[in-house]
Amino acid sequence: MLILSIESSCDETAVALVEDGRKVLTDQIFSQADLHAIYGGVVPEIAARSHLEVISRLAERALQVAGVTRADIDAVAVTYAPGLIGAVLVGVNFAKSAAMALGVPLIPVHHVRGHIAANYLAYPELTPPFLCLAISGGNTMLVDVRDYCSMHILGQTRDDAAGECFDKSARVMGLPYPGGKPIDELSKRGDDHKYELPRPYVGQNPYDMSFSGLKTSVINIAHHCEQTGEELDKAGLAASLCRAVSESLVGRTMTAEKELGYKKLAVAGGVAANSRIRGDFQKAAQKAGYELFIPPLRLCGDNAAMIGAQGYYEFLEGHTADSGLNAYATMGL
Amino acid sequence: MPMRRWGCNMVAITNSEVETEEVGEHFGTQIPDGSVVALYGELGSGKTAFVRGMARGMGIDCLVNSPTFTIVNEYLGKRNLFHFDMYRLGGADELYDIGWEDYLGRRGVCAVEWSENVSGAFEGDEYAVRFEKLGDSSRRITIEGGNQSC
Amino acid sequence: MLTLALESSAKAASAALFEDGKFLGQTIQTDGLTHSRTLMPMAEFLLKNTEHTVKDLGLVAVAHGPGSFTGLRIGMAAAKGLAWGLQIPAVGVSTLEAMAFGGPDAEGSMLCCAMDARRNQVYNALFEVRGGKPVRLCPDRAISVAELEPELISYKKPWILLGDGAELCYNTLDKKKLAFQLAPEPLRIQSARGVGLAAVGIPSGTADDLLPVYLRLSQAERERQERIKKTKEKDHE
Repeated sequence: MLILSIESSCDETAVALVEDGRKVLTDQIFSQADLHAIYGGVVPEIAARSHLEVISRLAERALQVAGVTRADIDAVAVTYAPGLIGAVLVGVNFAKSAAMALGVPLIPVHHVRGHIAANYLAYPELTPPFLCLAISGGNTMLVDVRDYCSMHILGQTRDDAAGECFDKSARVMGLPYPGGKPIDELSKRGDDHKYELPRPYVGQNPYDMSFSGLKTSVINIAHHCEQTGEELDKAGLAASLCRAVSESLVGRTMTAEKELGYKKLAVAGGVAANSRIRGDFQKAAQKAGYELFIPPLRLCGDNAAMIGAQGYYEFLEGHTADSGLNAYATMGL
Repeated sequence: MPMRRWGCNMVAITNSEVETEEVGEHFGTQIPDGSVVALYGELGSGKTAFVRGMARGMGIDCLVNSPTFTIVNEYLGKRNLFHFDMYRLGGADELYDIGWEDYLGRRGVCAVEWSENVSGAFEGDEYAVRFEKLGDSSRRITIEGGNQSC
Repeated sequence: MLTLALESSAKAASAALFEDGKFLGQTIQTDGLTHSRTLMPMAEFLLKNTEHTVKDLGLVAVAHGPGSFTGLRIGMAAAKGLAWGLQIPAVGVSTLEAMAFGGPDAEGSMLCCAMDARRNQVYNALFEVRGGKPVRLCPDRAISVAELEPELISYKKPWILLGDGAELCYNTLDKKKLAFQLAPEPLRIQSARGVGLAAVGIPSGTADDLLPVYLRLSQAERERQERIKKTKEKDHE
């Protein structure tokens, strides 16, 4: 079954073609670099989030690159929630009328379910149930993936996302944005016990997390050094921060895994690229005898292939929509 | 936590995130629909904590997270609160591109973090909430503006 | 050729069908559920009730702005999806022009089309009905009613006010300085029927060519400030 999938929930616009939920024929993600390729040199003034301007071009390019025709498409899947409403609406309304035009079913897909489904593309052998830690730019959540379309959030951040903590700490340290990679690099040269950073306890739900206190601590440490004239050990701060974030994430995940007993653990999202977090998960999983799944970086950011993957399973469950499909800024998993 | 008020202005000193939330909560009980609340303050000064309190004060039972990546979070309930974060935006023009004008037309309250980034976009009748760091965890929060007393 | 016209730039949403220029029908809703829920079901309904299928469509026409950021995106994304899916041409028309084409058409009528743009401003364009069709007198712009008034006066003719900004104009313009009236209600707002009529003769393109024309207030505001600044500089000379 060939699915044309569309993602436009925030910064990226993407169109992909995915076969049977597991094989990606193409994943066209629009980025600034593409501007020139698409417009052949004369680039009109386009806002950063220019979903409306590029969506039909991306769809056409997807067909061309994959070498398929409109008649080959069996369904259209689209991110319908959550996200920036003006962006999601573009994807949803393009998808619904494309589906109408092609005479095929329309499949609504939840964006975070898509992130979890990125694991299916990276690991064909992975099937539910498993535990998934989703740590992307805007999400930090621990999800019990009972079945392809049956998920339960065990815990999530009560304030900042883990990735955001890295980005803002990076800014305070004078590092470039996005901060994940520079902090990662810097941390390798530093003493991870140089600074004592808090391990926040969130209260009612032990699986809930909090990162805004960590961010504030990093800010305060940097500020103190500025005031006293003491030199800030940036490498040490970066290393200490990575250790703190990792311990917050890995600790809870391993506890949840033990409780659920799946012995399968996936970590999805851009923050999974952090070497300390990755390394700690690998060690912990190996020690406990769990199978660990961490997708490659290109599947960790927003993309449409993951929507095509999840869309396949939603379709098998009969989750389709009619032409009245709406977009939502917020939606539970 | 001591509060002084004169005219349409209010100043509060808070010594913890919880106290900042409480100031926000009180503000949330007073603020009418259709208001724009512009928040100004550096990283980690308590803006999101304040908005968390606002939501509670407005009777909305919702998880209030930082909208840095999402740009806008919608908290819908008995009343609606639209929580913006302009941290990633380059200027007032980009405000339009995220549907700002349409949000103003919806019934609810718009709370905007990092309003410094979109100066000139507001119409002059907004509330301005300024956060000043006095120490590691103490803050001075100044609220002015609007056409109602707080 | 069967043409589907879509309009979702403001509070109302509508879809209309034309066959070889002949108006077949329209569904319009001025309140209620969001356009994302109503617009395409309206189109489906019209196709079904005129005994057509989506594959019979030869052209999609849509209002491309000015108007609500969200509303325009819904209509345009839907138009793009259809045009791309069916591989048929698409054409975008000015919301204000569509408004004029759906308005009163007595010969010589002076149409002032105005959409509420907040901050006491309106998205506006002026038209004169000649030979049964509205002829454009100025480009689409965002303007305050105060600035619009002298321009309307200069034409020395009575004006018919259209759009959701018509009442604002009606209540602000000076009755002692010029003559104006509100267009009859059924003819006052933009509609898919107006889009379809306005689209006749406009060269179409592909789904890719369809681009929104937002007339952003912030940009318009800056331009206005520039105009005011220039006027002040002239006064100082």
